[in-house]
Amino acid sequence: MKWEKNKNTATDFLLSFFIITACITIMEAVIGTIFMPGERFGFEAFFSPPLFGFLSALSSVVTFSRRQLSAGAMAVRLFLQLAMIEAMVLLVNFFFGNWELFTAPMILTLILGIALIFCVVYLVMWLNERRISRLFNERLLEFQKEVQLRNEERLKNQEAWGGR
Amino acid sequence: MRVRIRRIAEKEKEQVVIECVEVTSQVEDIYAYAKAKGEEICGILTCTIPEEERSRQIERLALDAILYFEAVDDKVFAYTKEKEYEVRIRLYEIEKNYRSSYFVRCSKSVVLNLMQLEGISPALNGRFYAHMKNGEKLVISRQYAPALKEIVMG
Repeated sequence: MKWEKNKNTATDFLLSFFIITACITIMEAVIGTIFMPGERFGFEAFFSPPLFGFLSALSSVVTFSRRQLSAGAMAVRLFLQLAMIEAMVLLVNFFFGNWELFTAPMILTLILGIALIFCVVYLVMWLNERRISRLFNERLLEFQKEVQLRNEERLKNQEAWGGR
Repeated sequence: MRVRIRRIAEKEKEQVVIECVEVTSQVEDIYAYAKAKGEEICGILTCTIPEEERSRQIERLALDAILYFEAVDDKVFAYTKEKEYEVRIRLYEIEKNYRSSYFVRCSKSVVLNLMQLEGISPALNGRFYAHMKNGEKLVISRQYAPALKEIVMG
């Protein structure tokens, strides 16, 4: 059971990592094209999307809890996770990026872009879980019918035995 | 009357076989008892009545009528479509003993009856909601979701 739980956590982590990395790549390209069209970067810039993707996916640890969380508590944790990611991206750019090139509209676009990616990631994962739920529900009906048939068969045999 | 117990490996093949020359009332009693065991559980109906009357409200519950068991404050309760009963059995024992009757743990404090499950829907962060046939909604935590899927989907 522990291995299954870890396997699921790892799968979810990888799924969100790849979605986030893809979205960050697109967002950086859009923001760069709009606000810094003249800038040129070396190959080290390719490390930026997967690095942010990894740190963002890691931030989902905030939503884990041993206790069962209410919908409200979960919403608060999700907001905290988003706030953490926004702070992380802005701080990394402040300390290691070309912060002097960042204008107010660019920062606002960046913040909104991060929030959009956050929503996209959870939407994709929710759609995947909805697909799994549909498959499960179809199979559940068949499963219940099979069990019912087996029970009816068993009852018939018991009654036949009881009549002898 | 000779009584023998033969141990087998598979829980699904457990059965009681009564070999007799004639089906007497004694044999019918043994038959009824064996049939009832494993398909019923005793519970105390919970409602607002004086403590001294509660002991008279012990009922035998058919397992297939129970939607789910829930552990609350060191007590375990069984829920049917309309009533709630306190049962004197631990949740881990229910999970272990009634697995073959399709009772599966879905969270730390709930064991649900798969046969009374209407369907599931996604909740946030890897959890699911279990919609029971009486309209109630339970939470399937991410830790127990894979086991549930495994039983139904294989």
